[in-house]
Amino acid sequence: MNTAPEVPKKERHSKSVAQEIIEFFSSVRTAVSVLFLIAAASVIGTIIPQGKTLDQLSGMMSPMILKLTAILDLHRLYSSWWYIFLLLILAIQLIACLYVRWPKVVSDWKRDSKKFSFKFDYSVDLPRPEAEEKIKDALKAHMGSSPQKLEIDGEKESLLWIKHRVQEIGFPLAHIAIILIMLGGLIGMVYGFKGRISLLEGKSGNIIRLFPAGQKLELPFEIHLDKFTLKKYDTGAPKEFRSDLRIIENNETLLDSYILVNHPLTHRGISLYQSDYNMRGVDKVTLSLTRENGASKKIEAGPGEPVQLFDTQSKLFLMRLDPGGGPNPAVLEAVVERKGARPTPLRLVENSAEPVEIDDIKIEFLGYKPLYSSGIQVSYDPGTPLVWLGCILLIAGFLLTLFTNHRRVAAHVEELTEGGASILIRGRSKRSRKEFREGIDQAVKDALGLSGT
Amino acid sequence: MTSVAINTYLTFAYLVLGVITLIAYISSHEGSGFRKAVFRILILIWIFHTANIGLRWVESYKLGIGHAPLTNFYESMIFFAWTLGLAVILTKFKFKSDIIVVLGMPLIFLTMASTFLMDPDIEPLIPALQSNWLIAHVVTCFLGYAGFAISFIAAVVLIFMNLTSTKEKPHAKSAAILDEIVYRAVLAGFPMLTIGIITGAAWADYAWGAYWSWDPKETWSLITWLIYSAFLHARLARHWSGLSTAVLSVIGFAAVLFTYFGVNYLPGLHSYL
Repeated sequence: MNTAPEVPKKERHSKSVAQEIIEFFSSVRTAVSVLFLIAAASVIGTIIPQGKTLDQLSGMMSPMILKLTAILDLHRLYSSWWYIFLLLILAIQLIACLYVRWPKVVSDWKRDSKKFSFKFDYSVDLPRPEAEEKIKDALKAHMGSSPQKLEIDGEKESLLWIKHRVQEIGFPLAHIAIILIMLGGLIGMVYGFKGRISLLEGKSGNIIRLFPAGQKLELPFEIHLDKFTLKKYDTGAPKEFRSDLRIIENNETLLDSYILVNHPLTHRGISLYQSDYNMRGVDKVTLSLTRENGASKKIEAGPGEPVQLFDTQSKLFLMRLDPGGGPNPAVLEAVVERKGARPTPLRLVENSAEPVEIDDIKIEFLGYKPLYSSGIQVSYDPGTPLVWLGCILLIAGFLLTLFTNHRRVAAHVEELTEGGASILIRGRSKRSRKEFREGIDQAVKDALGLSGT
Repeated sequence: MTSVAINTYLTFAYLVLGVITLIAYISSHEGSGFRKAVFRILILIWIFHTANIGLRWVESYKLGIGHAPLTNFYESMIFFAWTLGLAVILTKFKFKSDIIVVLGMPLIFLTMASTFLMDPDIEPLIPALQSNWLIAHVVTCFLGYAGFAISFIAAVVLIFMNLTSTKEKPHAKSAAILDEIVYRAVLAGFPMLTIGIITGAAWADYAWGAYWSWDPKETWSLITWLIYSAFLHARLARHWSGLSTAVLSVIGFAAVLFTYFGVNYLPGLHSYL
C-alpha cells in the first residue's frame, strides 16, 4: 500500500478550519471508510427483519438485542436517523470532492491547457514549412483529424490535435449522478406514499391503506374495478392477473384501462399496480337444463337468484359453492323447491359425467364465474424522475470514463538559425499512456525519416 | 438430444478439459503448442455451450411458453458458467495469463455441476417475471459477477504468491500482470453490476411500484456495489495495489457469493433466483 506523503506540520497550521474540513470530506480515505461503514450498516438490516413493529419482534429476539433495536431503530434501519446521517455524510463528501476536483477538470478540459505528460524534441535538416507539413500529415493520419492552430502558454503557436475531450465529464457526471439518486430517494421518502386498496368487482373506492402502519389516505380520484381476470397455464401456474379499471373524478370517467403485473397505470402521478387478488364469492353459475322431451337450455344465475325449471312450478336455489382447485372439481350445493313437496337438496359436481335428475329434468353444472377482489398497490413518488436521471447520468459517466480516451498532441516547429528545424512534440492521454506516447513518437520519426536512428 | 442432456456432456467436457489444462500448465512452458491446443478446445466447448443456451430458448418456444432461458436457478447457473467462460477467454486473450484459465476451469465445472442438483424443467413464466427488464437485469448482473470472479481468482493467486514468495520476488513480472487483472476485471465488472442494479430497480418499479424496497437481495447487491466502489477509489485515487486490493477483491467476491446464494436464507421478495 502506498501512503500519501506526510504534509509538513508547518503547512497544516497555515490552513483555515474551513479548508481542513473540506480536505477531510474530500479525501479518498474518508470516502472509502464511509463506503465501508454504509455497507456494514446495511448488513444489519438484512439480518433484523424490517417493517415489523417492536411487539412483533419481541418474540423473535433476546431482550438485549430488542432494546438495542428500539434505541437504534434497527427494525426500520434504512430510514433511521443514523443511517440517513451516514448517507448525508456521503452526500457532503461527494459535493466536497466535486468542489475540490472541479478546477482540475476545467484546466484539463481547456483547449490551451499546458498540461502534458510527455515531450519529444527532434531536429531535422529540412526547411521549417516542409518539416511542419510532414508532421501535420503524419499526425493527421495518426489522430484521424485535422489540427487547429493555437497558442499554448501564449507563446508557442502549435498545431493541436484533441480527441475525446468529453471524457473529462465522466468523473463529475458519475458523482453528480449519485447525489441526484440520493436526493430523489429523499424526496420520495418525504413527499411520497405507498399503500394498497382492495376492490370488489363492480365496486369503486378512493381510500387506501398506507404501508406499513395502515393509516387511511384519500386519493384525489375514484378507482372503479370493472372486472378481474385470472388466466392460468395448462400446468395450473398463474399466467396473467388483470384488473380492468376506470379512473373516475366527479362522476366522470377519465381513464378506462387495465393493469397487469409489470404493466401499471398512472394518473396524476399516482401509479396503480396489480398486486394480489382474492376470490370473494360467486358472480355467476352456469347450468344446463335438459327435459326428457328434448327441450334444453343454458342458464346463468347469481347467488340468491331463483332458477325457474322450465314451466314447472319448481324452483332451484343456489346455496353454497366449493370452488375446488387442482384436480378437484367445483361442487355446487343447491335446493329445489317443488309445490307440495319438501325441499330437495342437490349436490352438483362441475362437468360431472352423471348429471343430477329431478323429476324429468336433467341438471348439469357447467361452471362458474368467481367474484374477485383485486388488491391494487398505489404509490406516489415524486423523486422517481430524479432517480432515473441520476441512473442515466451514472451509466453515461461510466461509459465516458471507460470507452473514451481524452488524448492530445501539440506540435511546434521552429526554424533554427544554423539551418533546418527543431520540432517540439508534447502530449498526454488519459488511458493507454505508454501506447499513445510510443505511437506518436513512432509516427513523427517515420514522417521525418528518423526511424533508423 | 435435449439441451439438458447436452449440458451434462458439457459439464464433463469442462471437467476433462480442466484436468488437461492443469497437466498442460505443469508439463509445458508458456506459449507451447500443448497449451494453445487446450485453449482452442476450451473456446470450442464454450461455443457449444453458447449454442446450447440458444437451443433451450428454442425448446421453450416449442413448448409454447417461449422465454429467455434466464428464469430459474438451473438456467441462471448454466448462464453464469457461460459468462465465466467468456470472462476466462477474454482474460486469456488480453493478458496471456494461463493461470486464470487453469483456475477458472474448475470454477466453470463446479457451476455447471451444481445444476445436477436443480430442477431442469422449463417452466412457464409467472406474471412477475414477464418483463423485458428481466433479460437486461440478469445478463448484466451475471457479466458483472463473472468479472468479479476473474478478479477473485487473480487476487487469490496474488495473495498466495505474497505469502510464499521470498525476498527476491522471483515472480515480479507475473505478479504485476495478476495485479492488473485484479483491477481490470473489477473495472469491467463494476459498470455491469451498476447497470444490473439499475435495470433491476426499473423492473421493480414496474412490477411493485417501488424502485427500491430494501429487500435483502437488493441490499446485498448494494453492499457488493459499495465494496467494489471502495476498491476502485482506493486503487485510482490512493494508488493501492498488490496485496491490499487483492484482499478487497476477495472481500467483494464474498459479498457477491452471499448476494447470490446466502440471501436465499433470509426472508424477502426475491424468491425466484
